[in-house]
Amino acid sequence: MNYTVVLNGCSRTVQSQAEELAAFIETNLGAAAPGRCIIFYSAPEKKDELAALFPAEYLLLVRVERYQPEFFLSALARLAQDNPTPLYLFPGGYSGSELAVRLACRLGGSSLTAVQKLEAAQEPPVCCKTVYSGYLQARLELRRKPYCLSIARGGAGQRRRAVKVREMAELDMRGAAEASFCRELEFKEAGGGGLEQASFIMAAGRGVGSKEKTEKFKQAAAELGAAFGVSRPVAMNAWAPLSALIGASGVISRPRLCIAAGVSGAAAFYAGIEKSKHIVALNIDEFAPLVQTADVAVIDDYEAVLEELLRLIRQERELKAKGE
Amino acid sequence: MIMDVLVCFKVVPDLDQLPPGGWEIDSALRVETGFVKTMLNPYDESALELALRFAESAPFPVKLTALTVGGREAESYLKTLYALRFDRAVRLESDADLRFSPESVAAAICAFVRHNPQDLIIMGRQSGVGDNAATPLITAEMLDWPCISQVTGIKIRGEDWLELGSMVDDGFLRQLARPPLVAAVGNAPHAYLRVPTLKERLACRDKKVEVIEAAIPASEKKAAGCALAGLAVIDRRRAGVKIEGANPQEKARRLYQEYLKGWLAEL
Ligand SMILES: Cc1cc2nc3c(=O)[nH]c(=O)nc-3n(C[C@H](O)[C@H](O)[C@H](O)COP(=O)(O)OP(=O)(O)OC[C@H]3O[C@@H](n4cnc5c(N)ncnc54)[C@H](O)[C@@H]3O)c2cc1C
Ligand SMILES: Nc1ncnc2c1ncn2[C@@H]1O[C@H](COP(=O)(O)O)[C@@H](O)[C@H]1O
Repeated sequence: MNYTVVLNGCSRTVQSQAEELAAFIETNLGAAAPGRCIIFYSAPEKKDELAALFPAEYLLLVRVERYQPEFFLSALARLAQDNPTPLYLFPGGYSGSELAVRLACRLGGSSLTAVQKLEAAQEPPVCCKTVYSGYLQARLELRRKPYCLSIARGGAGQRRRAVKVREMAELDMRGAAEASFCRELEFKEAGGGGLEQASFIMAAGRGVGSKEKTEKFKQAAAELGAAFGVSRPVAMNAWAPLSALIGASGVISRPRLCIAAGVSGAAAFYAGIEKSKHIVALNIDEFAPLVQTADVAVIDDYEAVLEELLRLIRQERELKAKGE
Repeated sequence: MIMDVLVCFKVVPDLDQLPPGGWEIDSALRVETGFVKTMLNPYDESALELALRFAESAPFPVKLTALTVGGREAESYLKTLYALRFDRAVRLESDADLRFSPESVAAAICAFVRHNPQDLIIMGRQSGVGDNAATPLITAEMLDWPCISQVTGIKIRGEDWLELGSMVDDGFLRQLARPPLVAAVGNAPHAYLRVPTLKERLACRDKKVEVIEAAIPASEKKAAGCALAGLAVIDRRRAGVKIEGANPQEKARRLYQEYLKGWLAEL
């Protein structure tokens, strides 16, 4: 199936967007499926770097003032009119989902967000995605062309493409900004504790108990060399910044080791740690869902367990230091 | 001036309470969720609270309407919203299967807005059950309004500008925007819905929820962009080994010796 991939080059996350889309396409459509890629960007000095991110047969670079879905959409709708494809693929971040749904409205097509799998050879095509807050998997038939899909983050892994670009074009759409309904006041980059790339994560849930204890937990994580993450209630209580949120609406991680303390293990949280090689649950409740979906669990107060773990690890480190 | 603000919310089952073996899916792909209590969809809870704060801080009167599309399960929540000073509490009655048809929900909301003009619509970014993350976006498109998503805060600035905080892929944005627009609320810290006092409840106990037939296109089947073809429980179980021990220290030692030591060495 011929497709168009749309990347938001105004975002620092564009490289992982491109790699996840490449993996999705290879898995679901085949590496050789013909396609086109549209990249929106705002920093001219990054243009060449961006152009290399997603080599497709046809590459279109659109210069914009900044990420503003209204401009992206009017450009996309126009391009789709002149040169339609049956499938539009967007990355899994916020902007991807937003653009997929709204573009489908404008083109009279079907949209789905966070798609894990596309069976494109079926008629009608079928998508798989999680529903019921992440507890169930649904198969959904797409009814109307064009199909505008945003993919599930972290779904198919990451891949670099090895396709030759046959044609490249450019478009400047900066003028559109003046007619906007809105003005940007301030943009603050999310610090991000490197959760996406971390090989070791320690995650705190509501059971950690308070802002002070969350802070203490964070220090323990730093001492052990782990990235620090939290569940939604912890972020909502502002015990930790939003950028530390793990789960369906936060970071999707893929560490080798994840220790989760005071986390019940709701599916929406688990989505953010399920690619961990090893999962350890520290929970006082033996019936907490995470106890079953972890590799090992300690049913006890997390604080006492963590304190002893810290002592053991410090001891081990001291021994090592002496031995060397 | 008066500003009309509409908040759209959905009542959902608290799915985190269903035990892993508790999922029953019937042949029509319906899921039995009657055993668990209902709750406000978390993002909608934040949307309602942000709307109340917005109304309180505005230098002019704000008329607040709360609206849901669905059955009677939302009735007590709508009553509570009266007690919290919402001016109108509306239920667009429908017994259609709207789980995977954000288009139909959006169409019903838009029909209401056409008869009851609004300056600002506040919704949640995503709701459980369908997990569609689509309704506010489709609503904005149908009304031909702009939409700002992942909103974390809304304030009034002067007579006709709004200041919105929101999250984007790689950070936090603060922008000024002119209504009308749709704001889809994301993870907004501290935005839990306040609880009314008994006095507030009593003061509005005779107020009736407005129930209006939802204007969902007759061929709802055609309206939806997707059709549900299968539904299955995801089994995420792992070994789930429970570490035994007389006290937390002993358990910690076992955890360390038998598992963590090796795993930490792999890093
Ligand atoms: C659309 C949608 C999206 C969502 N997205 C996310 C998301 O991205 N990320 C996310 O995290 N959630 C998300 N949620 C919320 C999710 O459903 C759960 O509500 C949330 O993950 C629960 O967080 P928790 O485990 O920290 O809290 P709780 O469920 O309250 O669990 C606390 C746990 O701590 C344990 N505990 C208490 N005291 C101690 C102690 N002293 N020692 C050890 N254990 C203790 C308890 O036994 C309990 O299991 C989403 C929900 C919806 C509807
Ligand atoms: N039945 C409904 N009634 C009112 N609002 C709804 C309904 N369903 C969804 N919404 C709104 O749309 C948002 C996103 O839902 P969804 O697109 O289903 O994920 C929710 O957070 C609500 O604000």
